[in-house]
Amino acid sequence: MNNGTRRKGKEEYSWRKTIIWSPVILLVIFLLGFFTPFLFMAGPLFGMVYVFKERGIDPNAPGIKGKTVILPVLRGAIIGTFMALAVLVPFRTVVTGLIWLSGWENLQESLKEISIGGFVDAWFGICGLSFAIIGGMMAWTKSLRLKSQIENLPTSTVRSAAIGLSELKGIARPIEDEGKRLAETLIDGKKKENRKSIRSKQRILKKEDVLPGGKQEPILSEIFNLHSQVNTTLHSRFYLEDETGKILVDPRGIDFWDGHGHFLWKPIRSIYLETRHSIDSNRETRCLLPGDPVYIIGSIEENTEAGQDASELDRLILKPSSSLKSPGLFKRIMLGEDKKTRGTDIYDVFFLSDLTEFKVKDRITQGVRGIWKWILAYVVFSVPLVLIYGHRLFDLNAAKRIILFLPGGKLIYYSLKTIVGLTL
Amino acid sequence: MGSVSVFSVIIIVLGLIIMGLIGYIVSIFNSLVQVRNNVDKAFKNIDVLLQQRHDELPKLIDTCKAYMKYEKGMLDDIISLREHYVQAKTTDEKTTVENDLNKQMMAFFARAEAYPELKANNNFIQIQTRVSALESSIADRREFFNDSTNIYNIQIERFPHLILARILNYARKALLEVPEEKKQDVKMEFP
Repeated sequence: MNNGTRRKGKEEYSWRKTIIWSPVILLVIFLLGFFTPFLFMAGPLFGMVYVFKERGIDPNAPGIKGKTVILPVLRGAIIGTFMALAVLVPFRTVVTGLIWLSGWENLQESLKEISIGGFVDAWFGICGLSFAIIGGMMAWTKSLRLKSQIENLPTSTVRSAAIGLSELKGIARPIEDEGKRLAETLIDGKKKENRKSIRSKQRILKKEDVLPGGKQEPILSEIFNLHSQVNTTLHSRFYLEDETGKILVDPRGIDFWDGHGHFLWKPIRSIYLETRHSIDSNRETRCLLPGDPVYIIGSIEENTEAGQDASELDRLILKPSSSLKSPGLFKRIMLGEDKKTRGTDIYDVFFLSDLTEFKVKDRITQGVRGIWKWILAYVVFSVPLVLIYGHRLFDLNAAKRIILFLPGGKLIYYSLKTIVGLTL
Repeated sequence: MGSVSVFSVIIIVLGLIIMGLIGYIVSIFNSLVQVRNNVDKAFKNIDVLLQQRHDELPKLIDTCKAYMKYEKGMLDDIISLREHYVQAKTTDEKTTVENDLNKQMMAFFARAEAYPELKANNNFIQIQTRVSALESSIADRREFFNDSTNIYNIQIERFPHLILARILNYARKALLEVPEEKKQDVKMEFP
């Protein structure tokens, strides 16, 4: 076990592989950049598929019954287009810039034709810039929310802990009979590339999976297989113990954070483990073992599973808030459901780490800094397109050409013309 | 780059700055509300125990009256402070009264040492035991309340938070004082 240090596997970063794959990668970048105006049309399709997949197609399903599907699908189509344009901006700008610099006139003409005289590029720029601004604001707000909770909440002792959002630190102690339940429900498998659950690859972790020596059963662990890109996690409830007593902690269902910014899409509910973190050529492992120090910000609630004869402390449980709802942005915008609990979302925080409070703050700052770099990159890639093609943004003839190009475009065009009274 | 483009850049940059400023002000506001709520929550958490301890006071005074005839003024002060506590509305008022009451209680228990008959009284012993048990629970929560109040006091005096704090009339809050005898160093005895 390589405690507290990152070791890069030899096979991962082979120069030979990089040299072999470089032309292929460059070709893909070129194709993505050159033909992006066509690719962005996949956006609405992606949006609609996402909505149907998440919502389901059964109109009588709970939560869907009585709700129209038209609005979410329309919203999905618009957001899908926006996302497609925003995500592809860097490719488009790089390739456009290279073609412009090369002076190759035929290619420049083709590029202009595909972009409908710059109309599409103007929208690329606007979407990329909006994405950067909205993303930046969100990352900033979320990081501030978490950091302010860490700064503003005094650390409670277990004995003085009160119901509501609390900050505690102590030692992780396993629950004696937790092993059986682990095998039942607490295993989850996720593919890291697209964060979709892949049930077929779920498996139950054994202690030797987590530690090569298999000396101790972990309380929490995440194994990321570098070859199959499968992320396997294990969550179990445990006790947090300090000098005044112990309290039950339930981190089940909480995602592990790898230390990079993820605040854009997820609510602030994360597990960040660094002390027992190792990487070899096959996998990256993080785990929390019995006796490890733990720092937690979470909601203290009544433990409904506690017995009648349970003591005052046993009646409490530290977990993510069950009364506050603050789902991820993507789901909220696309599906328009699971609305936030307004005004109280600053208290919707669950953060568990094996680091000290000071280091946790430091890691969050580092993670957010990573996001800022991406945001800055998006601004740099988007602004030239806005400046060069901004005057074409409201070119109605170009918009008409795009709409007519879409499947069912004529219907959309004449509907718009009739309903809104547009004279394109 | 034409004049329109320069204008666009200025608009974008100004927009970003304004959005950033609004976001920052909102975050300061949220932070101030949060620390104020933390203090209120911490006090409510301790208030339950203080009420329980205050409920013991009339019984204690009734038991002591017969023995401590010359301490009538002190006993009346305790009862009066207890009533003040009940009437106090804000956390700050309650904290101030509680600090005074605490001092009186300490003085009272110190004076009680001079009355051996009272110290031997069963009722007195029982009440004193209950009050002491409550005291240790209060001590934990007092520490948490004082931490919350300290963070609040720091936040409202930090720049630029203090500007918004003054506009919102956020004033310093009093800490719950730790009784002198609890502050004294523990004597370590080595063989």
